[in-house]
Amino acid sequence: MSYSYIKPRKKSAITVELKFVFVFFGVTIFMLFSVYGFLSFKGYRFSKESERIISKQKHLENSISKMKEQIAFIEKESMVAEQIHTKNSVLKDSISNLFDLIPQRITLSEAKLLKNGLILYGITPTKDVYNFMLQAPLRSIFTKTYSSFYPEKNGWLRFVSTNYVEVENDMFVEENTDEN
Amino acid sequence: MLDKIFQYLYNKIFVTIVVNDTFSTVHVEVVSHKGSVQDSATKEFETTSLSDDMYDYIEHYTEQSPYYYISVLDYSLSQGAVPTCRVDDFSLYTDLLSLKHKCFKDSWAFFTTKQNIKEIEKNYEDIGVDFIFSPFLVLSHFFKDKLDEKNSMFVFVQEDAVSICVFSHSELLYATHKKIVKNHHEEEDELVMEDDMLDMDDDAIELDSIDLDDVDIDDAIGGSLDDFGDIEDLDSLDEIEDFSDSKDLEEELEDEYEEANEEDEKDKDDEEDEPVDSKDYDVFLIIQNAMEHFYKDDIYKSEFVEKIYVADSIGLDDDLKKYLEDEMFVSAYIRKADLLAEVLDITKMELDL
Repeated sequence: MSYSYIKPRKKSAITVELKFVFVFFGVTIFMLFSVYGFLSFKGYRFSKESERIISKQKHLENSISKMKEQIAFIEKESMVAEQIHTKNSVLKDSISNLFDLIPQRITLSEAKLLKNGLILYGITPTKDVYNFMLQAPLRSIFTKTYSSFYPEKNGWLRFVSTNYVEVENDMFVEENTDEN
Repeated sequence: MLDKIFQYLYNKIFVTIVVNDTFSTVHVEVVSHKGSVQDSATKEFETTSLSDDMYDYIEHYTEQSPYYYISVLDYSLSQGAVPTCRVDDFSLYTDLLSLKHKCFKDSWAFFTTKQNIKEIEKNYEDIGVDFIFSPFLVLSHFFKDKLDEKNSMFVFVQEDAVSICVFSHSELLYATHKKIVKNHHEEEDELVMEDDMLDMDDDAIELDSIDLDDVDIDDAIGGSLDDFGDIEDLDSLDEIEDFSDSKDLEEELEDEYEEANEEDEKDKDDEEDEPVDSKDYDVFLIIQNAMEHFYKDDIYKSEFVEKIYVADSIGLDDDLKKYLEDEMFVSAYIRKADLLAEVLDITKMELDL
């Protein structure tokens, strides 16, 4: 209990000047922390944006690689298609040429195109017609030609012509030809 | 929180000011946060207000720490104490309207006028005042081990004032605060000087200056002192006679001459000491009057006072004890008191240190 007639004045080490200094430094520190906080937030957002962009970039790179693969595949398909088309056109030309080889008097009933050969089934009026008009051009194309005949009731002959191309033999033939 | 840290860093400085009639005493104590006294100093200033010297002296210490406390002992005459804490009962003893009072343990109260407090605060407004204490509080604190005794009077003697209380089993019965009147000393000094002149039979012209009124006053006030003076003279004569038996006339004359010189010196010493003696007597008179007032005034619960305890802060002689015991027939005990230390102690109590 207080026995003094008056109350003691409030004592404080913080004078007005000190208060001013504290307020000044307080405001400065607050501003520093505010700027630090703002920059940290901005940095955080920037890093997040960067991560997002990087992931998007990776995603796009993946898409690009996929698309490149697809393009390569499509190009391959295109090449294959072109090759097929070329082959087909070659085959078409070959067939067309083949059918051009067939004289008016011989009738083909079946033709089998093999990888390295050709088998023809048909009817010829005579062996001579066949030999002169068909076998001769076939022999000029294929290296080996085999023919077999069997007669029909109407006197015509049914034939089977088997023709093969032997590359090595062909080359050998060509070399021999060059030597001659 | 911050303040507590600062309190830990700074020392506490206690400034105690006690104002007397013509001078003020300032005591400064620097206490560390651990409670140890780092520095202590006391200085007297020949002023009763805040002089430039005193301001500089106090400022020198208080500027060392923001935690400084300035205590002033209430020196006004219009203060006192009453044996009640009830505001309704105050009117029996004094006028409450203009007073500021403080209750002591819900038993009794000490008071002073609001004007006094304002005056003290204004007097020291340049340095500020934190505590104003009543001499009665100092008295009760000083005699706290004796207050529970039965019917005892407690007297606190300051340089220029006396605070008197009568307690019985810690219950206040009577209190008064009186100023020691200086005029009385002057009269007393004059009379003592005249007595000396009479004893020495020095000059007849001086005798003419004494009139009957002064002699009456002397008889009324200082009769006992005269008696002592006579006894002293007789003793000195006996001593001279004793010595005369074994010495011749020349030696006797020389001895008498030396004795006379010694007496002169002794008288001079007595004259120098006289103010202290008279202060003892003044204090005695104040106590006597207070006692009479206590017995005679019906508003106080009159009990026969058996003991008187005196706190002496000014260095009284043993005469006071003799006066009290011879004249008032009570047991008197005089205890030396350091007023500044007591006020400082109370200040620390106020701050729970």
